Amino acid sequence: MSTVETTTPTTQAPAAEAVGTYKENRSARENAGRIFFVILILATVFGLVMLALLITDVVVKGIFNDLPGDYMLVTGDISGDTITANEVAVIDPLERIAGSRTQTDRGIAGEIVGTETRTEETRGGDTLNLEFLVLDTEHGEVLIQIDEDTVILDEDEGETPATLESFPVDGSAHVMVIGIERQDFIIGQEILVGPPEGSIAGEIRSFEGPTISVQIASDDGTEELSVQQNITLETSMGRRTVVLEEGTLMFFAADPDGDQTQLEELFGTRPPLTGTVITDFPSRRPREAGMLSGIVGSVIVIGLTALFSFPLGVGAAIYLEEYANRGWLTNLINININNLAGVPSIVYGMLGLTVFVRFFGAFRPSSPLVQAFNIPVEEGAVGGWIFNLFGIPWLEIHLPFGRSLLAGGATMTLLILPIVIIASREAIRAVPPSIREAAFGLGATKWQVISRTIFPIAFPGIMTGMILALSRAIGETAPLIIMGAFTFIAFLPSSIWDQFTVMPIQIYNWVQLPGDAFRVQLAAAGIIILLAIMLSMNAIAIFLRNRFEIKW
Amino acid sequence: MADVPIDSGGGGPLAFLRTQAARNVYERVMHALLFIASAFSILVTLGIIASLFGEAITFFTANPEVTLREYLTGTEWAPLLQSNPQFGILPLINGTIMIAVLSSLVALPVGLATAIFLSEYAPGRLRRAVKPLLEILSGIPTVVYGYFALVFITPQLERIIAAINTAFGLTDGPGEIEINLFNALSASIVVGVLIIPLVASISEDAMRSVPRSLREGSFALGATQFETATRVVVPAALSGILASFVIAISRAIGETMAVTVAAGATPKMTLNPLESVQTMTAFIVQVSFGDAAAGSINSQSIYAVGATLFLMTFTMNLIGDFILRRFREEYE
Amino acid sequence: MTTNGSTDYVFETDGLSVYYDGKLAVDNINLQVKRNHITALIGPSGCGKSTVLRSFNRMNDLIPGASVEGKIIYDGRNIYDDSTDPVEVRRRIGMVFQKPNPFPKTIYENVAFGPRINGYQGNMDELVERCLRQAALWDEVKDKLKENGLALSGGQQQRLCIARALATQPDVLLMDEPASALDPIATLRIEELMHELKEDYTIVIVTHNMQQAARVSDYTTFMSIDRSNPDARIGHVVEFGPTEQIFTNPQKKETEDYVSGRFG
Repeated sequence: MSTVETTTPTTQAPAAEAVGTYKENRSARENAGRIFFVILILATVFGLVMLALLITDVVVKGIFNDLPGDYMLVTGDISGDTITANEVAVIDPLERIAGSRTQTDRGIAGEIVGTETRTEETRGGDTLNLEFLVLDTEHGEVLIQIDEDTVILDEDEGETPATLESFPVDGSAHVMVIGIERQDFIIGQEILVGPPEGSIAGEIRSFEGPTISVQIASDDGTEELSVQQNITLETSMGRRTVVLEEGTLMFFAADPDGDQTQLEELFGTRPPLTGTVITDFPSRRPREAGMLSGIVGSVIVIGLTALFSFPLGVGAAIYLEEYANRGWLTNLINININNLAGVPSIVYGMLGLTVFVRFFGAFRPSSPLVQAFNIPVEEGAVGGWIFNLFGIPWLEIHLPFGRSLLAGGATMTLLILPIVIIASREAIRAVPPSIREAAFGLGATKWQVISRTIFPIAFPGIMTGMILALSRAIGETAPLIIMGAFTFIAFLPSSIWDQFTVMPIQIYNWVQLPGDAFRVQLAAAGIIILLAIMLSMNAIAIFLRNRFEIKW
Repeated sequence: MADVPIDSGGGGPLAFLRTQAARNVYERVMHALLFIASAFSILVTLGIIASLFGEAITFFTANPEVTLREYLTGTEWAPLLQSNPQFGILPLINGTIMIAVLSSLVALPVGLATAIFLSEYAPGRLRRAVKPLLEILSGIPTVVYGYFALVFITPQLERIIAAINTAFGLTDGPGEIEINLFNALSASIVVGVLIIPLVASISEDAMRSVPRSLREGSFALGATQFETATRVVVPAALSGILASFVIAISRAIGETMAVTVAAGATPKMTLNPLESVQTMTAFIVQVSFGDAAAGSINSQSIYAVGATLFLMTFTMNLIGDFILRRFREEYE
Repeated sequence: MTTNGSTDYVFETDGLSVYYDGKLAVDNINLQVKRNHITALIGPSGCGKSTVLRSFNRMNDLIPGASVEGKIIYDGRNIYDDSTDPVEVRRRIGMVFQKPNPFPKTIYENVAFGPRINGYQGNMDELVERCLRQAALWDEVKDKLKENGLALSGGQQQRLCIARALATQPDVLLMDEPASALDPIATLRIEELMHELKEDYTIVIVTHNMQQAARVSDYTTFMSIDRSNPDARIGHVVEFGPTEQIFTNPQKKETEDYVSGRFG
């Protein structure tokens, strides 16, 4: 051992020489210790400063900076323009558009070839009439749902129709320009700039930054313009600078001096962290976006997880502590539980997807089970093979579970089960053996000993571990994304068979959306809410631990 | 017997037998239920293996354009391309290992130093205050760490890089250092912070289980506290510390949201931490977030990647667990 | 208590041997325990006193790897018979342990625990009070029955454990060094209590303390380690008899050495 090594030179060195050597050595050694301390303290201070910065950063972004409002560019009378053969551009169409989501989620342009009304039945049994525009675009015909959120830009009637074109830029977005002329990039021109910087409108005030070339489509064909990248606009919120980059949408008012064309503010601004973050559903407008469905989804998923993992986890812990005798099987279970605790959470998501969402594909149209019994196969979380005795949605059984709350809770259960088992075992092990002997000595059966003495005594400890595990589950994002939880859920679930989303998925979605309003501010607001819930769960756990700790 | 009647066992030999039989059935049922609960964990492992490897095998057998050889040795990963998709996993492994290594550079020294401090220096009250703090630190959702990396650390890195460029006159020159908005470095820093508590807590447990007598032996020879900590306690607890390293690196490999948010989605073979890379986990999220349909080649490819990830982390966890067991046997 | 007392003896052991993991711990014990008397088991540490005591209510069953040979006849029945339910045995033969081990429940619930699990249907308050009185604890705790049992002093805790054992209305009380963790005054209380309890119960006590055995017991069993094979540490009975005889006129040299303090 190392102790022996350090002693060897001391005992062998001649006494006279050693004195000098020791002194020199000692100061060097003490310096080493001091340096270590200084480094450690510096590292700690650095860590604390970073933590303080993070908290300030999140709080400032989440509370103090206002979210931008939304603007609409109105040219002419929109209501009369939805006629066949008219060319239109649609900003921020709903994601229900037929066709690929990645190509259409920022804007699309095309010629109207017709309108369509579809009737859909909601889960409540109501019928819903949905209005669609059928557009002929470069991606083929797509259906665009029209509702109060749809913003349609179209050409003024009567004039020679300017061609409205869309350019795929880097495969991600389109530049759509209406009636562009070279002089449109001039100071005083009214302009609306769309995603990815967030919609903002105003009058051009100045140009700055490096010069870039912009590809523009107009009546005379495609042309390239050189523009400076940073454009400062005078908006209703003061001066804002927008940066032109790939995928930026620009709409110029056709006539800078005309009275026909105007930019209108649709909504005012608001701070990110207000009550509406809690009470609103997800929205494509930062001004209206909230995470109500995420909060409700998280609460139900965590509730289901608690419901499933408690009996399974505590049962396993009791078995392993009180019943299992030493042997290969117990050993295997022990090693297995330790290893499951280290399996990446994303793997549990894939397990949940295969087992709970898809049932190993047993309900695919091509599976022998479906073909043999002629089981109706539906898509989606609330579909599948439905069995229901009493007509109450909560009592239905859907096979497979689909991307439902139930599948989410079941997936999370598998994820936290090892943690619950390990924590419960510790709590049970903390009950002294003398208590078991006392109960056995009174003629209790094994199960009575466990249920009447050990379990009640270990219960606060078990609950502490349970809450800590659940507080971890509430922040887990990856497994539920893999399992297929949704992002855009604008309703509250009516049963555990419904589709759902959770808080961290909302945050992730906001973080990866373009525009600071989502990426920075709303994400910060969401994080504040999530951390508040998580930390209060931790506080409850610590309180339980301190309040019910038994000193033997 | 006493004068107060007791209902069970008090009513003659037959009644006694009846209750005993009933009681035994109940006891056996509870025993069986509890056993099932504990055996359930084995079912979970089997479920993981069946679902990951089942679909991964389909990925290789059902798609003629994919071969295991190409998968393991190919240096281009582009399964989402419509035409001529590429299935070489090395770029994803490259990204994963780069982040694991860089984050270890952050977490292992700091975690070990924290463990030494907590186990050898900190008074009991401080330790009791710090340990729950570490627990909370490790409990913060990883998507929050990702946000922190993207909106806080990356801008700081950009500033530092710009300062370096200016200082060395590299701006607009051929040697200009460029940093991507999504980069491996900032993701590695937060993943490092994320796994510090893991290293600290396992290492601290290991060091605290080193017997007092070893420390006393060292002090008695005139060693300073620092020497005792670094030359006696750390070597004695070395296997436990190594186990904490292995487990922490395995955690870094499996870490998902922080790297998905901060490191980007560009699978490539690079050693430059300022570039955007993609890890195995980030790829799985990328595909899943875009609703991969069951049975499509995309959906199958995530299982192949997931199985690879599982094999890597599972092996490391087994090694870590094995080392820890050996270590515990040494001192118990 | 004596309803089916066809014999004076509560326990008669016949060739009792206990093994731990196949290793012999106590060998060929033959003892009689007389009804309504106190029988003490004394001997040096590790001679298997507690093992023998725990055999009387099958507590050894709970230790993994423990096995028992021979018979213990209780109430005319072998308690190690296959048809005997160990749970029933333990209900009729109460036990008090070395260290006080009250449950972390209220004083009341501690006493009521045994009756509850055994489906007692009488007046619980009355039973609790009677047991606490029998254990000479009632006066001290009657105003704080709702307080946690762990809040009592060590001696009170041990008397609470005795009350708890009495509440299942056993025939026999087994006491495993009940006073070893207590101070002298608390020990004295427990010893006085044992004198009172032997009116109604048969008591078997393991003690380390020879004076205690001499003070409280009617019969004494001296156990020791088999000297012919000291490494194996196999316990056996050296001498059994009335306490007075064991302490004043032992028949065996080994006993005399031990009780006079020359060995142990």
